[in-house]
Amino acid sequence: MEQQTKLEGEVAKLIAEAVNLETPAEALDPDIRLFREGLGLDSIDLLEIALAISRKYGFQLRSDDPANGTIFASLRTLSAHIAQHRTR
Amino acid sequence: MNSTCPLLDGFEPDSIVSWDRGEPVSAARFCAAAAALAADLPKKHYVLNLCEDRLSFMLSFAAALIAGQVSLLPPSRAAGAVRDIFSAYPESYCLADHGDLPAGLPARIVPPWRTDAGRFDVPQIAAGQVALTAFTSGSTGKPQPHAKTWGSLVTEARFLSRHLGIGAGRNVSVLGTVPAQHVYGLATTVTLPLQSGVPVYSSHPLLPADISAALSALPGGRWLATTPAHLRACVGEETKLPGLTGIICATMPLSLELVQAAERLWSAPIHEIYGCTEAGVVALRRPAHTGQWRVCENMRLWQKGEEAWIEGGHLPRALRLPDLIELVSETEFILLGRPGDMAKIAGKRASLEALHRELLRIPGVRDGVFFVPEPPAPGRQARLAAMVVAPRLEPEAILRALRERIDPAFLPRPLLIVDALPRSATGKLPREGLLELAREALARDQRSA
Repeated sequence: MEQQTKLEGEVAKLIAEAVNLETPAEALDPDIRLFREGLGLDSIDLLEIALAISRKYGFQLRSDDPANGTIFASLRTLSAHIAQHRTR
Repeated sequence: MNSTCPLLDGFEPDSIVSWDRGEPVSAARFCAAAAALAADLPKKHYVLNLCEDRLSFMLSFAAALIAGQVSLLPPSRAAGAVRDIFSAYPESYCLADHGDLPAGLPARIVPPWRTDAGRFDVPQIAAGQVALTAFTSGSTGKPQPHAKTWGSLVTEARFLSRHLGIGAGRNVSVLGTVPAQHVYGLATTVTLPLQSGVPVYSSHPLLPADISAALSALPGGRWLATTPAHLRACVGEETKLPGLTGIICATMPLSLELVQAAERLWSAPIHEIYGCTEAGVVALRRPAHTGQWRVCENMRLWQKGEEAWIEGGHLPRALRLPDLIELVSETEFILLGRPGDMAKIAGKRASLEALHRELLRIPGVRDGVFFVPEPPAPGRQARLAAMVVAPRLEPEAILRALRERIDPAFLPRPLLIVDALPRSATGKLPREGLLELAREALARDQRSA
């Protein structure tokens, strides 16, 4: 597994807390798929994650964004999206 | 009830049936497209409607009605669930608006929209025609079918329309965040708008910012048909939901705190629906005003021991409710909860016993149990958890096997591997023992990772 960056570590912790993951945040592979296969998250989980991200980073995620396949692909792509759009 | 009911009601030829990404689709164009698709459908009895887009779903549903075919509404689009239904209905095919379908099933993709409308002919559908079959998990784990006639769906939709005051001339439209395949989604975002002469938004936005953008694109007053999970996220983000006339909410209980916060934030009344796959909409209430539910027009309740029964209204026969209730009168009740074995997640019910059986069918699993863990936070819904005795299996392998067999909403999280389950001498699993072992196993997994 590749090392998590500092932001990836922070987002992993946020996801693990938002959706009650049994895998500890530090053990999340930055490239693992978040939805379906991979972590197996679903749309209700996505709602929880979006809410946590909006509270912590001060911007709202869109799921009907055409780039959405890439944004939610993995911890790495989601963190990159947050780095670009965060207001705090 | 007349012997036929129209496919849609309250629309002029050029009234809008749906807003399709900013583009209006008129009633005349909708009827023409439905008739054309109906003439072109494979000649079979059943059609699995797998459309994701609401307008495509409506078009496919309407075409099936015209062609006299029964729409099968799968409880989820998971490949396993679709295959299960297909094997029970070999005389069926899939109708979809996307190519992401389970391999090997006969399938048809909904054709692109026609631009011409032609003469405005509203198809008349026999009231007694079976319009759809929806499914519950059932006690054996195999999907149990529940058929509904077109007349029953129309009666239900017209009641909702009168009760909520949603009708042509009110300049309102409906936007839903729930899939049309769920009976609640179907009643509020397909049959209700079709029978009241109001337009519906074509897609189903998920995240608060999506819902906000979609609402902004609609003219007039807006009705939002949604769930507590979506409402909670929108309240948490203090999302701007412009122009709301009312909110319809169902699938799991709403907390009074959430109701009050939402009504304050958007100045729109919340109407909560209680229902089930077997009966559709059973009762409504304004949770800000009362804890009591009132059944639909002309329905009547009674109790037989612990069982609650309901009849009348849009129901062709008496049905037993899947929940425990306290009767206040023949038409009012208080919801007490579910019988012990049933779990309800994301608007879907499952028998824990049936899930347990699916778990034990996985090679390498010696013992296992599904259970409802302690809620993660107030107002948040817990997922199911599982503990499994399987010395040679990784949790990921068990999850992969389960994903093939059960609805994704019921996939356990966490799934903990343990040495043995805390069974009592009689083989029972006391809840306290389960929760304690789960806490220990969780602490152990987090230390060792």
